[in-house]
Order: sequence, then C-alpha cells, then structure tokens
Amino acid sequence: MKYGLFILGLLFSINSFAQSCGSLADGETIRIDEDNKSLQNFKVQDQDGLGSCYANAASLLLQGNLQGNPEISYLHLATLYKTEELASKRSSAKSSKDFDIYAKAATNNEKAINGGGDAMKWDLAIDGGNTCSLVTAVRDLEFKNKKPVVCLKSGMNLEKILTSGDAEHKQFKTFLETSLYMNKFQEIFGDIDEKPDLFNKKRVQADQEKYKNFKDGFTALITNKKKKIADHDCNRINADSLDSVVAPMTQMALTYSACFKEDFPSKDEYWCQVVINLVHNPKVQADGAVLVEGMNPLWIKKLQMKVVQKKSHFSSQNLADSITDTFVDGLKSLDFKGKAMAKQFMKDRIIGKTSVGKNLEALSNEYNEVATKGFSQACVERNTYNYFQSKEYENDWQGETSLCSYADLMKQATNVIMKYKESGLNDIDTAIGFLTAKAGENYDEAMMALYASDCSENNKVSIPSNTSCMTMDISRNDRSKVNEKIIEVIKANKPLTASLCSAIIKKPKSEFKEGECGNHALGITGIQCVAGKTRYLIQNSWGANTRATNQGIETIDGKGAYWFDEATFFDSVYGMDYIN
Amino acid sequence: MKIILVLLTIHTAFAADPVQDRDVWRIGTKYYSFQKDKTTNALLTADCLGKKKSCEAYKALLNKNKIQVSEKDRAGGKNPGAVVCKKNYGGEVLILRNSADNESAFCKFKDNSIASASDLF
Repeated sequence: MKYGLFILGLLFSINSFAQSCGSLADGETIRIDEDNKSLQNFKVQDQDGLGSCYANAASLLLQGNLQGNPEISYLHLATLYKTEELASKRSSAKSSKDFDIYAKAATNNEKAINGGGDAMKWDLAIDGGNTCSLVTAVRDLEFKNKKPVVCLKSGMNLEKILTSGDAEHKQFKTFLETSLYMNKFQEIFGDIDEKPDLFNKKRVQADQEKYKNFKDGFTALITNKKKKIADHDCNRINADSLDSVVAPMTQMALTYSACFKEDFPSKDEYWCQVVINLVHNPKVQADGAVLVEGMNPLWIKKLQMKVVQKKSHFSSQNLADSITDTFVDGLKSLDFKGKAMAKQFMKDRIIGKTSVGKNLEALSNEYNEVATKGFSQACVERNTYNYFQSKEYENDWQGETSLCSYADLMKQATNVIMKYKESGLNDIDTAIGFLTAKAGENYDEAMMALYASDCSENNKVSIPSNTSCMTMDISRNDRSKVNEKIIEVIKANKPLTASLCSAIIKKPKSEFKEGECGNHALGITGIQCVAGKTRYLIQNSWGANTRATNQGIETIDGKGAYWFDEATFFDSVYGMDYIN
Repeated sequence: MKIILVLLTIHTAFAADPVQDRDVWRIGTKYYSFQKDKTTNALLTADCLGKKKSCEAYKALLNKNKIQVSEKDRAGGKNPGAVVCKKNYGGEVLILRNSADNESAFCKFKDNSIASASDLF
C-alpha cells in the first residue's frame, strides 16, 4: 500500500513538473528570429539617446506580421505618430511649450551645432509613446490618405543620414542644420501664409513675388540637371557603385587581422591572400579607425567590364559569382587548388557572412531596369545627389540671376538636400517642394513634414485596414493565461512586445530604488521550456552588444537579446501587445 | 615521389586555418577594429588595450558600477549607455554596424579611445 502511494506520488509530481510550462513541452524551444521564421532577417537596432522604444517595438511587431516581413523604419513610425499627435495638439493649444523645441533661435541652433547646448533636447519630439497606439495611428493614417504612408528602413532618408559615414551624431545635426535653413528662409521671405489684409499688403506681395521667383528658378535648375543626367549618364549599365555595394566584404576581411602582420606565417595561404587583397590602401586614423579606399581599382575595373558586357538577366547570385571569380582569378600567387579554396572561402566566410547578397539584389534590379527600359531611375537619384556636392552645382546657381542673390540660403538649402541620399532623391520633387514651399509654413509643421514624408512611394509599406493591435494588462491576468497567449502567438510565427521596467536588465526587482523602473518596450520573439520552467526570448533595441547582469537573465551574445526566466519576466513586465 | 607526398601532407596538416581575431564595426567607409578586454568583457579599441591605465575608455569601464541613470534619462527606453557616454563623459556616440548590419552604440572618448556603450553602466 505504502509502495503504491509512493509510486502514485512520484507520478503526480512528475506530471506536475512536466506541465509547468503550460502547453509547451519540456525541452521545446520556439524562436521566430531564425530558421526561415518571420523575424529571421530582423536587424538588431540601437535607439541611441532617442526615447523611441515604443517605435522600435512597433517596427518589430509590424515586421513580424506583415506579408514579406519588411524592415520598417522605426524613426519614420515615431515621427508619423508624433505628427498626428502634434496636429491635434496644434489645433487646441498653439501656445503649448511642446513647440518651443522647434522654435529655437538661429544663434542657439548654431551654438548647438558647434558643440554647445543640450544636444538631446530635440528628441523630446519623439520621446515616449505607446506601441499599440502607434500601430493604430499609422493604420488610420493610411486609411485617411488612401495610400501607404510608412517607409521601409532602406528607403528612409533619416536612416541613411545615420549611416552616411560622418562620425558625428547625425540626427541632431541634420535637424539643426535644417532649422537654420528654415530660419533663413523665413527671414528672407517672411511668413508666406500671412493674410494680406492683416499686414502690410505691399510688403507681403513683394515677399510672395520673391518667393515665387526663387521657387521657379530652383526647380528649373534641378529639373534641367536631372534630365541631362538621365540622357547622358543613366541610359547604360553603370557599374560605378559596385565598390560601395561590396563594402561589407572589406569589413569581414579586417576581422582576420593576423594576415596584415608582416611576420604572420600563414600570410601566403589562400585565405590571407583573399583578406589582404580585399583591403585597399588602409589608412589608420588618430582614433584607430581604418579608412579604406574601397577595392583595388584594377579589380573593380575588370569587374565593371564583366558586368557591362553581360547586358541583362542580372541576379544577386550571378553578380556574387562574377565578383568571386573576377577577384580570385586576379590572385596571381595562388595555384589552381589555392584558387578553388579561395573561392569557397569567399563564398562561405566573406559574402555568405555579410549583407553583400542583399546589396547585390538592389544592384541587379537597377541593371535589369536599364536592360528592359533603357534607363535607370536609381542611377539618376545617385548622380543628382552627387551633383549637389559638386562645384558645378555652385557655379550653376551662382550663374542664375534669380538665385545668386540668395547665396547664403542656397548654401544652407544644399546642406539640407545633401541629407537626402540615393533613394531619397527619387522624391527630389518633394524635397524641392519642402524647401521652397513648406518652409514658408508653420515651423514645427514643416520640420515634421521633412522627417515624416521623406521616402518615395515605392519605398512605402501598406498596413492593412483590418490590422488590430491588442494590449494585455499583465496585472489583470494570471500567469498561465499570459503564458498561453505568448505560446499561441509565437507558434503562429508572430512576435509580441512587452512593456517592462528596464532596470530589471541590471538587477532584480528587490534591489530597485524608490521610483526606479525605466519604462521600456521590447520584443518577445521566442519561448522555451527547460526542466519544467518557462523562459522568454526578449529582443532589446540597445544594440547587439547589450548585456544583462541580472542573474535571472541570460544574454545571447551579439543579438541584443536575452532569455528571461519566468520570475524575472513577471517581476518586470506589466503589459503585452500583439497584432490580431 | 613518396617523400614529396609526405611533405605535402605534413604542410597541409600544419597550415593554419582562417582565424578571426578582431570584431570589426563600420559606419560608411570607416572601419573600427575591436578586441574583447578580458577584465571587463567589453569591446575596446586595440590602442586602449595596450595602455589601459591612461585610456579614458578603460577607466570609464572600471567606473561603471558608480554610474546612475536618472528616471528622466531612461524615458522612452533610451539606451542608458548612450546617455552615460554623452552626459557623464562628454563623449560621442557612434552607431556602428557589424557585417550582418546589426547596430550597436559605441562611445568615443576625448582621447579617441572607444568602448561599447552598453558596458558603461
């Protein structure tokens, strides 16, 4: 009898143990950030000093739910959300202090650009928000506008500004330089929307005449240049941009730093020969950064000729093969066997480990466009952008009588236009429209228009009108219900987001100080059951190198993500959002 | 012939495999090379590793337990490392990317030494 009771008790406890992860089996792990799942291409974000976590979380939520899992710009989400917020605030409270951050005096702006002032104040514009409110707001905005409004990360100018190569904190600098331009514009033209019967009618009319001459002259200058570029430079396969596309290959090569040491015994090995030849003319700067002049120009020239000869039917695969074959065939020190190993090394450890494949896809689309249409729009965008940085541009507007009297304005307008990289210039007409019309409107509205509307139509993503974002209040639901909801959503290959106290990443809740929390929004991208205990995969937006020191959290190196144990999760999470 | 085959085999057996010994991050066409410091487990520029005592980045890493980030500076989930870099050290935040295009914030100090921002607090 006792023996029987003992067996029964043992069976019962085993059963309880096995069931404590809910419907997740012991030993089961489900992640949606790998293995052909919805977020396998999700790139780790670092929101820097911006209070945009709700937008970072929303971008993850949308990427995991939308068809094709597009990479959405969290900066654009944040500015759209705040534009809508500001629009409603503006109608009810014109004198609200929220607008003061845009209405900085020119001298304060200049001071801030030169290093003084509070460099983080401007981001109060997008500081703090709610994930589901944002998703609903952009869905409704699309419905109202009857067209997609949200930008892909790749098409978003502000994103490109951040990766432009300038080591400064570009977001802030761009914002202030643009504000300087607008201050100058308003100084010259006044407020174009002033009602003539309220002020000096003659003065207002004179300003409006000046503004019209400026707008017409500037638009004509750019339109003529674009046409020349299209007719002369972009009606053929243009392989000039190949070296920028393959930049990640140089980055990967630099990780094999031993090859660059004079006395390294394996310097002549096939892999070192690949590595050394992928880094052309490296120059080490004072801060240790290595400036590289792209690829060896002789190799680039050979590759360009090969690409141009091909004429059509480009793909990322055949471009990758061309790159590998042309490069390795040029390594004279390697024999036949060495070259075969070098090609495999490039395929597995260089191209295969970087984002080059994705870059080549965009390039192959451009080349195929020329092959089918005789013309490449992407080429026009790129060349028009380069024009704004050239002496030719300065000579052109100085030669125009309607423009040369606005020397200072033209210089600042150029600074603003130069922030519109590549695909942003696909919408150069909008950029010109902003510079010559929007700038005459309310300052804060114009600023938000700049950031909230700067990507072309074909870089926008649609949010279906039946998208419904749901919020679960953790305090009103028992743990098993929360757990089952997470399992359900993750098993459907979709993410959730969690609102939690970020202080938990460093220490357990018992060590929080009075009022210490740090409200933060992060992604939930996986769940696992280990020895009957549930763990939750949490994706942060503090960069790939973030690490937790809380014992209840295991950091996943290089992913900016962590496994939270159950106790830690429920100690810190107070809300969850998901798309229905 | 047999001797040549043996020598070839020995050479192949002892040829070094590809070794990655740096963590390289980039912004535009500028590349920054880092190594992991064994004491702090943080990514540091190589020149800092060679002269730790005078290196501002290393000193900041050792100081991290004394750093507090206010609730206001955590608002909106700001990366505390980026906040500390700017406010506590007057440093410059670099948002760099690895070869897989993942981002991470790094703090560049006034002496040009650089450390991963997430290790500053």
